[in-house]
Amino acid sequence: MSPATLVYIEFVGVFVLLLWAVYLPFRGGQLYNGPFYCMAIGAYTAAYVTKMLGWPSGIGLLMAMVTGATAGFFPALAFSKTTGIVTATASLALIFIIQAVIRNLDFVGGAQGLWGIPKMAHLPIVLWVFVVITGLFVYRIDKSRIGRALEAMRTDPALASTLGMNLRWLSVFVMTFASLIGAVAGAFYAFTMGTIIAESFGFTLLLSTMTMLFIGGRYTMWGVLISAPILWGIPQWIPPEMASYTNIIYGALLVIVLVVRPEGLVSREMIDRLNVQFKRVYRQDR
Amino acid sequence: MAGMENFVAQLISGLATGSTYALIVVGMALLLLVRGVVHFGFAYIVVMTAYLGWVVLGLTDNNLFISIPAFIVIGTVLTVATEPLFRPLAQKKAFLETMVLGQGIAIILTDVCSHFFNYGQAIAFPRVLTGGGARIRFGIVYFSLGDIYALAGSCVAVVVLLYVLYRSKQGKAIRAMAQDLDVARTLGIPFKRTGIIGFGIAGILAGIVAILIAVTLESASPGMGDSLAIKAMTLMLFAGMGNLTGGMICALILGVVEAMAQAFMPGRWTEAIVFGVVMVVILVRPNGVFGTRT
Repeated sequence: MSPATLVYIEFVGVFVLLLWAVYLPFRGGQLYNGPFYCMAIGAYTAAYVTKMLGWPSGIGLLMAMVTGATAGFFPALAFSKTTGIVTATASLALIFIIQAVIRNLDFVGGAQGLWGIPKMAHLPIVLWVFVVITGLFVYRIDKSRIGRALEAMRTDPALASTLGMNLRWLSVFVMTFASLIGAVAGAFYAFTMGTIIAESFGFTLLLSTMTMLFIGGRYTMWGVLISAPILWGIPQWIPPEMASYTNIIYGALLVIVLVVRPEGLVSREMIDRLNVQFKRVYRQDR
Repeated sequence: MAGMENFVAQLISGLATGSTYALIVVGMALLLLVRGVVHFGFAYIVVMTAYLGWVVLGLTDNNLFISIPAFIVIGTVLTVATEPLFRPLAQKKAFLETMVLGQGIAIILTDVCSHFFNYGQAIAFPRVLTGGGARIRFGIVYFSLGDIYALAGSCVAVVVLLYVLYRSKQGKAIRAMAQDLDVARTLGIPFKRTGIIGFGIAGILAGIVAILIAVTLESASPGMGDSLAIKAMTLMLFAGMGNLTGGMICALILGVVEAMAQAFMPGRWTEAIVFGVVMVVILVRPNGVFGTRT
């Protein structure tokens, strides 16, 4: 397996994690950018722990989870009370703040970035094990009472709270969990890239992620499994002269999807129909 | 007193920059009113207009009579061109998604600027437009001519806009749609046409802002869109979504704060601190300091 293919597999894994991290709050109707800010935190933590302190990658990953969850919890407390555009934009500010902070912290490389991050052994395998585990968690949350509560919160928050749901703590939980996954994605990103700079965690990342989420289908968790590989494949498959135009292609795809088929490729209806077919076949076999 | 002169000069400069922010905020507020969309790409349309205007200046040998109207026409065309993209989402009242759509437009415009113009380098505007740093004296204080032009231009633009919004039939239609979309449609206000007119007015504003940026900052770069967009968005939230006067005031304050910080408190943490403070205020008062709606 060529190195380029390995890197591709690793990037797809990182983005699937990040996409699920954005997907979960979105189920509750919140477009929360906390996962991105925690991705930066997770990446820098993992990098610092493994490079500067010389500890093993596993500890780096663990520390990234701890700092990510902590860093995700406190903003979540505040953002759980806001809605819609306010959440989306104010959490955008989080990304800018963390970028500015990183650029000023010389002990993690400041504006020059952090290079020479030690490689993690068996990175693709460990990464995808995490992806599968996270996928299971997301699937269970989606199907459980929490998932239904999120759906209610998205459709009609007023009704949801009259039904006795504690929307605030639901939001805090989902946002913190999403931030945690974001931090894990960040740690794996640091291990994959070997070098990280503040710019990596800004608008371009935000846009690529939103593109994958919206194209794949933002109302189900399965869409990202299709859109992430395809959209990551684009820079690989297009002729090299056009490679720098990747962002324009992403932007154009995003705009086209939002205008023509806003639900994305994999919509809720499609999953439901597939489920019905699956159950029909299963029942016939018995 | 050296400090005092400097202070006043920075104040004027800050007000001039603030007035460009103010016009962007007003344009975005207008788009919010007419279609309920948060047009994240608006600031980038402004930058693109500045770039294209620069091209026109180059082609016409710095002819201001052709170029200045060209800026305005380009701004209007670009903005109205994005209107159909937002219409399906606006009809479904999918507001969060409009922000993502705006982000998509934003990245396309940024990348086009960095790929096709000046090899991605910043562009500089000719002296005939910027006033070339000429200064006027007022007692012991020196003002930059460009800043004066900018301030005067923005005041005129705002006055004209308010007149259109509050006295003209189209302005009333726009405000009706902002207040209650469904009732407005029932009353027969044309959805498509009013939207296009609203976008058109915002487009004219975009053209004006592009000129002002050329005059005050004297340059433009592909990354400028990101900086303008995040400032405009946070200003809108800080002041209160859709609040025109509040947004303008906050924009002016931001311009002045930036100018003062740059001159008197150079430091690497100011940017993070300013954003942090703004974010905290937004979280404490999600409806904005001045509340939503003018």
